[in-house]
Amino acid sequence: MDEVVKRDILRVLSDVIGILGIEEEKDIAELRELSNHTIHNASIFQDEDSVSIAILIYSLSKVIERREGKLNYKVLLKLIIDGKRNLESNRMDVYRKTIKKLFNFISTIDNKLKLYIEEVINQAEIKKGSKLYAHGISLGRAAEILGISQWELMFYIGKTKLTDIKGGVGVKERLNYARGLFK
Amino acid sequence: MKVIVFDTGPIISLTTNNLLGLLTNLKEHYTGSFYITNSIRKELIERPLDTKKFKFEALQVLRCIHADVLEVFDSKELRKKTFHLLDLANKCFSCRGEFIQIVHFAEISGIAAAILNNAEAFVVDERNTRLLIEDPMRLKDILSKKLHVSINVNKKDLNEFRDITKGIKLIRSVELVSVAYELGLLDKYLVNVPNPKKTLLEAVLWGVKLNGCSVSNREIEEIVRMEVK
Repeated sequence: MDEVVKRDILRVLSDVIGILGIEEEKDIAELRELSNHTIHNASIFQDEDSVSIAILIYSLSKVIERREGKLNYKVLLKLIIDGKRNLESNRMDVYRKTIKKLFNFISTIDNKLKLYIEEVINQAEIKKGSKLYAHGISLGRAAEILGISQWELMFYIGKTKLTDIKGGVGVKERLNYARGLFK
Repeated sequence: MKVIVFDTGPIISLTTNNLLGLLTNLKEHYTGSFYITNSIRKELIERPLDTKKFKFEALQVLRCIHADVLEVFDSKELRKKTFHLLDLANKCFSCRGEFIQIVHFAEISGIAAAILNNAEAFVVDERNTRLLIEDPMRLKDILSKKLHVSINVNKKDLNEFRDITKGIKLIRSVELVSVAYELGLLDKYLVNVPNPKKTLLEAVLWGVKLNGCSVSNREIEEIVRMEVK
């Protein structure tokens, strides 16, 4: 793992520990904000660790929102503290296993919610993919990094303001050219 | 032979708007072929066929390929050219000691196919690949602003990339549906509503935008103004 990535993930994990330390209403908003910060590294380094931490934190925020205060923070906190400790000690394999455990924990919070949780994680991937696109990464590359299809990403991006940006050739010139191709 | 090469995006936005059939109609007005590359075909078909989402849409595209409306272009030369261009494109910008991997093999394969076939156009809906070709400094500004870091430009690779791609004409699915509208290919949708022509044009333009085509609200207004006088 790149040293910059490692340092940033450690900072993010510390922030998550701080946020989940005391159960508050603002936890959801703070986690979502934190997840937006993590996507900067995911854009630059495009490594699995930066990407998975971004998806994890966004998914956490959605699960907490859905569970409306009925989520046991203690188990979550223990896993996050373990993850941070393993990363600090450069035990990368164990750190990655802990992150996997966190995803598994989220997925098994409630059997009735299973489908919803799968959707949450999938939505988190799409959301983070759209952020990469917003940061200047191409649609295909963003989909590849997140392991999602371009169909899903395009469908989502169309509903955001990300398609509403100027630059390049003007529409009149482009349309005139296209017109000339078809008789 | 005349050729137009398509990226993944325009095929997706046409399909998700139930407008894929327009390609058949447009081809009747074009004296050449519509190409996609093998990697673009994989993105469009194989991936959704492996999942639950967009499976039916993938079948529609596959049918289009079987009917030779879309032809799959592949060659050893294409793969070589794609790797070369991909290497250049993904070394154009860097920050924090890393080259930013901006583009993906499939997108670049479309550009390479357009070059090798001396294509009349490359149809691409997504913003960043388009900016890389038409206005790379704007892309640099986006990267810098969004990542809150200073972006270094590798002028040597960027200039070589620009030099190789400078002849490529880019159009989007919005231009395709506008031309289809002009040619009367959408006339079956003219129904009894106030301003039927304007309503139809706005409907298809907003349809492709809302399904991912990168076009601004102002551009849509401009197209409508030009087309509906």
